[in-house]
Amino acid sequence: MLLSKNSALESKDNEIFEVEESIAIQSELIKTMTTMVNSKAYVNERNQMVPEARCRKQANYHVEQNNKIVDEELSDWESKFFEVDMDDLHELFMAANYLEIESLLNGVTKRVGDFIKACKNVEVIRQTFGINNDFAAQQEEEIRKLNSWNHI
Amino acid sequence: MYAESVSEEALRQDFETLTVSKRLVRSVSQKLRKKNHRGEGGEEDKVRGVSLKCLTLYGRGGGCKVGADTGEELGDPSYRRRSSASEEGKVYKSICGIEDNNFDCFSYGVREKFWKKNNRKDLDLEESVRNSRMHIFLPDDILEMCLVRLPLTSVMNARLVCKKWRHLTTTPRFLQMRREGSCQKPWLFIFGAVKDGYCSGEIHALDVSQDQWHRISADILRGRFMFSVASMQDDIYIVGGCSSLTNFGRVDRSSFKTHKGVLVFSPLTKSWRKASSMKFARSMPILGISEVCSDFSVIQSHQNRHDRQFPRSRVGGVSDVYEDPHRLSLRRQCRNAFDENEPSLLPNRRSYKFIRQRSEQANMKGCKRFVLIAVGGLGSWDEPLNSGEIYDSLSNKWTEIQKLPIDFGVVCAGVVCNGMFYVCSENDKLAGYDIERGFWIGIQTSAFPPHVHEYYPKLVSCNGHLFLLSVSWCEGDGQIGRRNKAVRKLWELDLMYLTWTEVSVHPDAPMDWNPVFVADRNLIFGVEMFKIFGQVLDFFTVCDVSDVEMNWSHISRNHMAHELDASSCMTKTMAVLHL
Repeated sequence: MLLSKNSALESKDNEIFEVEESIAIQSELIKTMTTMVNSKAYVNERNQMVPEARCRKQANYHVEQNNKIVDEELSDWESKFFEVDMDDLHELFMAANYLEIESLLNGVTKRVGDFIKACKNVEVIRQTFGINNDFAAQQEEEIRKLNSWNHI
Repeated sequence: MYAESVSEEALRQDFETLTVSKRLVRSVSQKLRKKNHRGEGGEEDKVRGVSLKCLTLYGRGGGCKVGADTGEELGDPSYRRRSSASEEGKVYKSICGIEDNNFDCFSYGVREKFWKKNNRKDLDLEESVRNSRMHIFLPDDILEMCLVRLPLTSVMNARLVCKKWRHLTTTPRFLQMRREGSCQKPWLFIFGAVKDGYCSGEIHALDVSQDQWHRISADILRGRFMFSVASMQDDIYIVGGCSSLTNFGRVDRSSFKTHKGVLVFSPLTKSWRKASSMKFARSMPILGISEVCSDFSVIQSHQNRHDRQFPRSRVGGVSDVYEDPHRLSLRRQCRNAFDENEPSLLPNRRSYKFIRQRSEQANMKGCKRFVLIAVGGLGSWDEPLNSGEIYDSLSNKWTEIQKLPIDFGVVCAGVVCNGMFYVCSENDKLAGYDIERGFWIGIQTSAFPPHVHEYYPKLVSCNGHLFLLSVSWCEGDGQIGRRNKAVRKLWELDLMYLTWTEVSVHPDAPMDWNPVFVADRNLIFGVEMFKIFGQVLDFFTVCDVSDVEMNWSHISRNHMAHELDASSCMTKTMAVLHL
């Protein structure tokens, strides 16, 4: 493991994370900020950030673990990492969205997709995501007819 | 054990007092710790009896419903795994009981609820209450990203959830993204099912990746049999066929009418439309379908022919021989034949320009232009036809093409490969119709793969390769009184050197003399149906041609034919779509 520069990142609730620079750069947002500052001296200083505490924590854990795992185990690890319930997934997604970490975002969307796939019918999807049915009865009937061949 | 559960209880209580984020932090760090101490710490985490990887659905239906491919790469040929699924076909492979260090995913302390007596109602209620608390505010673009990866059946479900989801999954952009991503999977559509003597007009669809069968009722096809099908983009073209005149709906070949009509079925919208009818009525024509560039013009190809014929000394046969590895004599013969049969179609400049404009418009909509060629088949008096016609999707018109020479024989199979529509005849001859230029070429190959009498070969094309499936004797030679064994082999034609090479052997005994083989991307799908011991059986197989060994595997057996009549074996036909 190469000893690369460490960035100190501060989150909104004033916790400071020491992250290897190569990992920190996986976040597009951080990357942009560090390049904007454009000086080695600054990189090691605190970068004042404004995101919410949880987001940062999630993201940091992700990148840290990500780096520690050998390639073969990575997909295993990833599938386990994302097997959390909806609220946590929501936080992970917020973090990924704000920090613009593509791999994390991909993982989250895939997991949400799996949730939808796992739902056997429409009612379950609505419950899982807390969505209200806003179709008029007739509209719904029409759509159901179109879909009717899907269900044996 | 007891000590462990106590510590877990304590842990759980701790959890509940912490905020959401810290709880997650703990769980993740525990995961990491456990990962590092895999050997020692594994025990306390082992789920007793039940895997908790799945989300809310455990209570319903009594089994894990989460698919086993969680976390796997999309585009994986998961159909192979599905074939070992239970007979039901619908039950996803259960992942219960897999030893795992995963901490439970229900951090709300749900775990203890599972250890209550199996009171499903309680479970359901609590789950739904809890779930409704989860208001997930996903922005539309993220939601779109989630939906685009879904298999078709889930997308159809998503469309019913609410107006927003419906809108997101039906925009042209979404559909385009789905096409471009690797989330579309092959679907097989089987036509021609005959039940209780009637052509039911039912279409049986197999979602290959999920190993799920669906049935589509298509009243418009009732009574029609012996038609041919071809698939293009998201549509299936149903061409020709017969209907009984006296006994409506029955497979009655004593008195019937043969159709010229072409129907188009779009499974995604479950809609039917008519395309323009052929010039000749045909049953079981040999079809070839191919995308063409927007500049393609049927009229233009006729024009080329005109040009070639008049200044023959200039653009003569001599130079053509050296350009063209195929036999010239047959081509000359075909050209002469064309002179006699030439339709009175004079190239019309105005109409040519008009077609050009229309093609631009069509391209803007994203529709690709294609041609559908129909040759042969049986005519209105059951006579074998050697005429052919070509359909242009842009003009929605059929135009007659050059006839094949009489000595070519009855066309028994055909497929488009690299801009050429290859056909083979019952006389073991091969010819190709050059789609751009618009004429037939006789193709002389090395020894044609031998086949058992009356088991005619089938052609299929995949990834620019041309394949032939033929049944041949591997033991004996068919004489009665001897031990005979036949086998179906897959051959490939080297398009440069015109030699046949055997590439693979089909695992099933060739019981069906009318199997159907279709290709989708790099996969060849085959269906065989036959009646044995009083039962009609069906076998679906697949071969991946990008695989070095090109082995065949079974994807579905005896799921759809058990209710069908034996005549379905003769009337069945199949198309494949990527949906």
